[in-house]
Amino acid sequence: MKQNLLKLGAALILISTCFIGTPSATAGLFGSRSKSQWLSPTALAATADGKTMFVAYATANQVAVFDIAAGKVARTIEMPASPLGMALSTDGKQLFVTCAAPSSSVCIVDTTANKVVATIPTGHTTMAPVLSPDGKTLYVCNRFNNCVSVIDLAQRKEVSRVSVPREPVAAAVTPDGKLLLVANHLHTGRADADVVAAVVTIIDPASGKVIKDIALPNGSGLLRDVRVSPDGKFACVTHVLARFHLPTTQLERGWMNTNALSIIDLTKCALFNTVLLDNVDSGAANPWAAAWSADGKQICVTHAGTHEVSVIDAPALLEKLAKMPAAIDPNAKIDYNAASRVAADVPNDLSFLVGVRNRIKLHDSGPRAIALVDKKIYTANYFSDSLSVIDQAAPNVTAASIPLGSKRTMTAVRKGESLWNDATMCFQGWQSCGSCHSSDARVDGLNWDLLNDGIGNPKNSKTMLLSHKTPPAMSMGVRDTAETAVRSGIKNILFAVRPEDDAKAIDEYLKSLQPIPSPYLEKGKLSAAAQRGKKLFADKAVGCAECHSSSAFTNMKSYDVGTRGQFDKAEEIFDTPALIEGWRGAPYLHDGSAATMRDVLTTRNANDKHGKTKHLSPQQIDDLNAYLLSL
Amino acid sequence: MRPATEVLTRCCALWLSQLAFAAVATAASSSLPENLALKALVTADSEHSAQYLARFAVDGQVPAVGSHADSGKAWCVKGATHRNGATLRLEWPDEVTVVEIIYYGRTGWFAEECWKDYGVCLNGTPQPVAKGQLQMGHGPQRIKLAAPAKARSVTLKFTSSYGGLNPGVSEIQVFAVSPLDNALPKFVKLQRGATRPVVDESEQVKPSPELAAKVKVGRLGFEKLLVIKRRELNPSHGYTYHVEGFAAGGGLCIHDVRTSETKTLVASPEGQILDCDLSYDGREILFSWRKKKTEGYHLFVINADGSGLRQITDGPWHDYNACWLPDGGIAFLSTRESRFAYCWISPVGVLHRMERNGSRVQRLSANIANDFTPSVLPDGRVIYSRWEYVDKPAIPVQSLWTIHPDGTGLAGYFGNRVLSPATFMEARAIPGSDKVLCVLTSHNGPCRGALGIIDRSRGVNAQTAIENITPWLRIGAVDKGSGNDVRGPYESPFPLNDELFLVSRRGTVLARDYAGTRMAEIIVAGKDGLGFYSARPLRPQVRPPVLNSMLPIVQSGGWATVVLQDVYNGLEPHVRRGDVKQICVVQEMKKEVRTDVKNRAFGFQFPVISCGATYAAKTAWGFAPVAADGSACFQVPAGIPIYFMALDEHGRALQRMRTFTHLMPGETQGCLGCHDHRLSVAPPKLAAAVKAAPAKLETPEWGCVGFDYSTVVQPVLDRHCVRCHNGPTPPNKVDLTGDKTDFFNVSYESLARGRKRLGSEGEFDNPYTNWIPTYNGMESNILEITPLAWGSPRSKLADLLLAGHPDADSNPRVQLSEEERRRIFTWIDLNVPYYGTAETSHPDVKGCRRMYPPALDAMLSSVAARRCASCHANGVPREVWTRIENPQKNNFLMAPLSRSAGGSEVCGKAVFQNTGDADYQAILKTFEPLTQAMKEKPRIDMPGGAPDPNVDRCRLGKVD
Repeated sequence: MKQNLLKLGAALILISTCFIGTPSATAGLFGSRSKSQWLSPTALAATADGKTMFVAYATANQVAVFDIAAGKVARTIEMPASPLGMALSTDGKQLFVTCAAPSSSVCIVDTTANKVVATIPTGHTTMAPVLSPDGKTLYVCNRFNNCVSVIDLAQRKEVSRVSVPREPVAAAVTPDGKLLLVANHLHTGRADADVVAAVVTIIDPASGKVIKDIALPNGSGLLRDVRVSPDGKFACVTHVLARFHLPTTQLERGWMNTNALSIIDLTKCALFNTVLLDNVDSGAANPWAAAWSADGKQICVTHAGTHEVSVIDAPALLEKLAKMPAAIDPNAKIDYNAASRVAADVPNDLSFLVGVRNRIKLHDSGPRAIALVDKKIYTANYFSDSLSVIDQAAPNVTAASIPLGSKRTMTAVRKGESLWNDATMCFQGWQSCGSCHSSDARVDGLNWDLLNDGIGNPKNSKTMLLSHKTPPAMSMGVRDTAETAVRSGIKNILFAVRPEDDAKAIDEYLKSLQPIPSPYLEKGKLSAAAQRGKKLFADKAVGCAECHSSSAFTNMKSYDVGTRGQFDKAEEIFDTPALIEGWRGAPYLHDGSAATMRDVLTTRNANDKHGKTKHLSPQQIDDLNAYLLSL
Repeated sequence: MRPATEVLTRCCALWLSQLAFAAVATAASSSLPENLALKALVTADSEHSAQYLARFAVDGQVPAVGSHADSGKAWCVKGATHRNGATLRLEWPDEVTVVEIIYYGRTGWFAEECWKDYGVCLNGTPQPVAKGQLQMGHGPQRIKLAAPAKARSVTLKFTSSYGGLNPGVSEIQVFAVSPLDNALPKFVKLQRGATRPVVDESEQVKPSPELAAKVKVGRLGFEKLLVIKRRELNPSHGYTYHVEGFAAGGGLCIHDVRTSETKTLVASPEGQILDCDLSYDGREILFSWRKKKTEGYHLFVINADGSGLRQITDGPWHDYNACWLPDGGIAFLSTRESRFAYCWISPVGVLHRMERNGSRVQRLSANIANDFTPSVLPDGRVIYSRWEYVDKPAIPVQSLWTIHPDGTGLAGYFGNRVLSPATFMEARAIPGSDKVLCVLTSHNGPCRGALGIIDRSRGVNAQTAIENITPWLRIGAVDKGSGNDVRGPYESPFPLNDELFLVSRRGTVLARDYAGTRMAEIIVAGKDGLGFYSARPLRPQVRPPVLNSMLPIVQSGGWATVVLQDVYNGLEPHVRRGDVKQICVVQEMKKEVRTDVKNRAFGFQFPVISCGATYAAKTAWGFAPVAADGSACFQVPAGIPIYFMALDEHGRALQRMRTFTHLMPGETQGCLGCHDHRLSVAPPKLAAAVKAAPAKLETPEWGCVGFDYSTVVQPVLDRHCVRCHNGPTPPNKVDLTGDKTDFFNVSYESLARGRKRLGSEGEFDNPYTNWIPTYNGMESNILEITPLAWGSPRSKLADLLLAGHPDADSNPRVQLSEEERRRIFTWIDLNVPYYGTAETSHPDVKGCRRMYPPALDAMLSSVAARRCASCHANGVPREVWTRIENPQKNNFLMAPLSRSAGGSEVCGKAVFQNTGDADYQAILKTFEPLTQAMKEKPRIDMPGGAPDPNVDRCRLGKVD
């Protein structure tokens, strides 16, 4: 076993040294798989004439040219890496495709010739391209560099970067080009604070400065999309609204996760309100892509977890929101049938959309992109390699399915990934595994008071990377293996009884996860500071490596390292976590009380019990921090 | 843009809007001709009063039926002289042409106040030009003349009435041309004794040959229907169908829609099959069968091919209303534990589950009144109807609840605070929606009724969430003391898809669409009285998901945990943050005895528990602390009906649930607050109380026992109050001694029993305590859920004790300890129970409690006639209660007794100089047999009182 782990460690190092810096020739999300047999359509872009739809295949590294009239793919264009996003030039002649990798690029496709005519290098995991209204500038999100690249299309090169808080995954620009909105996937603070929420960053493109970070309601995270209304007055943001404050005793009435659409008032640059997309008896898990109709009358949202589309009457919603008073009129008679009496009630109201929203079931799995063409709604369905089309002009508004590739039986890994993101296996569709661990089985940055170790001691959600190799699972080690944890999660978090095959498939998926090279590496190698930090890490006087030993950086034992948190019950010892991919795992410690790795080494180690760091100079702390963030 | 609502709603809404349009169009296209009566001078040979003059019969106003709002809008006679006939005369200054007269009966109060036989005379001639008989009902009735006639006067001679007190007329119209039918409102026949219309049950949805053809060729997705053949059930109440519905005959059948042949799988010539369910694989049929009248219903399974019939439950009780669970088990109702509705005699069937072979029977529901008709929702929960009346009247509350198949997660689904209709039954999920289809029916009478779709996302108590898809059937309103307005022919609805459903209309099975545009009869009820029910396609169906049980494998000894986020959620702004200090956990105790309804008292209590307040005896299990942020985390007893009260620092209940929940042993459930909105999610807020282990309840210092006034409250009064509040003339006439009275004791009579009478039932409004009346007629109080609306915060007694009962100089006169005060506040907030148990030592007396000297009244009358008549012509004044302990202290003995002899002499003179007076002694002597009987067999609130060992606890109910 130990031998194997050592080998694994060696392999990991090999990955970090060899693959980093080279635009990945592999498909999917960097090296995790060879170019996949699966297409995984993940982005859509329709031409203005409504004749052509470009479909980005995330794991096949292709962009398909879909002939709308014929209802089939006309041809495919190879991409150098995973095409996570697309933007069409106003004249439709150029398609900008973000090809995500540790060193990503934007490929410019000539849509007449259907080939890549230029490649512009960008940052780590580039996605969500958006064009300035004048067509001269392309903004793209470098998810793991926490920044937006500004690309001058005349020069065809990146001209500047604007930092944003964390993991930008979606962007939108107002029709006048004056505001650029960026959705940050996760929050940046501690998880044990009273308020924990991700933000939408508003940037002034002219100055390249951040105007404001707009905080979404407490518990907001896993942001997926941001779209601006055609009149430029509002933006909508899709995200999960987690109810992490209470023990996870039940799922009814959105007890754990609710699924939300936040509306930003762009005239005020402020959050207007947040509405829940769920119904009282049925969650609408994992809201993902959003779109406004060209006339501004509809907002369409895909639910990647429950495989549905919500069609919202936008003017009716905005009017309903505008009517909500700020405070209760003490003289008004109470309407006991209204769940929202004041505007602040709306984010907790499971009936607010009643009467202004139509929820349409798809017959496909994992809709992650949406495009509106005339009266038709198209979705790109990640796991069923298909498009869905909903003709709103038809007498019965239902979804039809259009397969993009040939039908194949899913491998266990693919099935596992699909189940990981599938909320229909959960009681009432409230959430999937990916609603807390994100779609790629990492973290949501939130603390959850699960009942597996009793009420009390909320714990920070952990990455699933290496979880099967580093038992036990859970910070208090209450699950002997990750396999047990997977099965317990299905039963006690999704409240479902499922065939063993489902759990096995999820095991296989989680075991197939590969670490993503750190954005802190320099040309794939440890920076000078990180190299110094590596020595400190191994230094017995500091003592990190004693417990964070082995190639996975854990000896898989539990210790009292003085990290018992404010809400923990009388339990002092916690499992030693692996440190691989620690750069994207914030916040840290079992209770999420360290917002940054530096906090782990400093403010959250006041008594030197969690390694000895008090004696380190600021420079040494910097070095150690740099090393830890490079793993 | 098309309305972005669910497709189904849209269809129905469209249909309704078409109806509305049709009505408007009709009204617009056909108006009334000129009503000549409006120009006439009207006289009558009798007018009841200035409020009911003859001219009000021609004022153009027709008061609503039963509205009591016809003063100044209708004419009626003095009943004493003209009940059997009267004359109404209309005169015009100029001759008019008369073709038709339209009569509207007087229906504002009683149906019987309508006229019956009539004649019409013109121009004062005695010979009638028209005569006939009018119906008892509301709305227009035509009186046509044989030919158009010219007249200066029309005389309506009414020669008989339907017997009401003051018969009359709501409106008379006179026309020169006959109005068209569609210009007139609809006439509705009324029943005797009521102003409720006779319900027209006839089908209003058009037969669709196209739908019938589709059924016939299996295009609805089935070729065979599973169906029960039986007689119609006509029980007295919606919750007695398992004991009162028996009529032999019929069986379990398979109907082939192609051949229209019905094959009998199980014949039941001597028994009755109530209902059935089909397994998800379509292979096994589960059904409730009462094989003989003397036996209970029991559950049977048979293979769909007719083989393998097996009985899976047995015993001297009823097992019925069973459905398959997704995990292969069976949910069903059972009366296997002796429990009876507090206000009735029928055994209570509550939700149980068991394995498919009948093993591991487990009670899921803790209800002490009935559960009804469980079925499984597409999300794997069980939906069922639940009757309960915690601190509210018994009639309206048969609402929908959900529960996980392991008994956890009990939650209100819809209608726990709805007055129209009284009862929701047979809720079944509509595929592809979050809605259910159910029967809307009454409290009394059979369970059939109208049909409704419930969309609870529109509000879990919102009237607008109920869509009556049989809109020609009224669903009534219970708040006038009657839950019986719903009458309709429908039962056993079964949704097929998001468009069509099956239903039984008085034994005829039909397919219909929700929108009400088409209908096809599939199996027609037989002329032999046997009809078809419980129809469902004989085919496999999607199995709902199996929900993981969150219960620990090792159950934790009868306790469960509640996590409360913020008690103020639902209490603000009436309750200020910081005011709530504790949660009190209360159990509603079951009634295990079956006694005779003729013994009822204080509403429908038998045994009596209170003076018309709580029906059920209660146990306060204890108190849990509430943290400063409003959160709480505490243990509660599992498996019994419990509810919570939010208490202030003194132990006063600022709010109580007025419903109950239950938790399974080892279950942990979170709740948001007290009366939080059921469509709301937990606000993002930590709960401080969650940090620690769940708090154990602090047991009340009087013990965790049925709350018994005599032993919990009376000792406090004895210590602090009785030294003043006793004797011949207690202060403010408030006697707080513990002497037993005919139903209760003296202090309870003083502090709780009502003084105001409402009709024949109501008796409430005690000046010292505020409690929720539960008599029939008080139903509207279920809507009063404002915090601080009821109980000790509104009670003078509580204010007085907190202030120390100050004298004129503001000096406190009594100082109760906190524990003592809490006993009294808790008593008030438990809704003033007197008895701490529903057991009785005397099942055969009034209220199963009343101890009263039989000879007293006659003796008192005789003495009064001789010695009191000069002052009291109509008998001596009495309290509504009678002291049976220390009977000499009854006012009828104290008031006439001289002060020197220990009396109060309130009569103003000493009628009895001393206690040696023969009449005094004769009256007192009437108590002796009772006193002796009490010694031999004390009432249950007296020392030595014990349950009658021979009381009926039969779990079958009446089966002879």
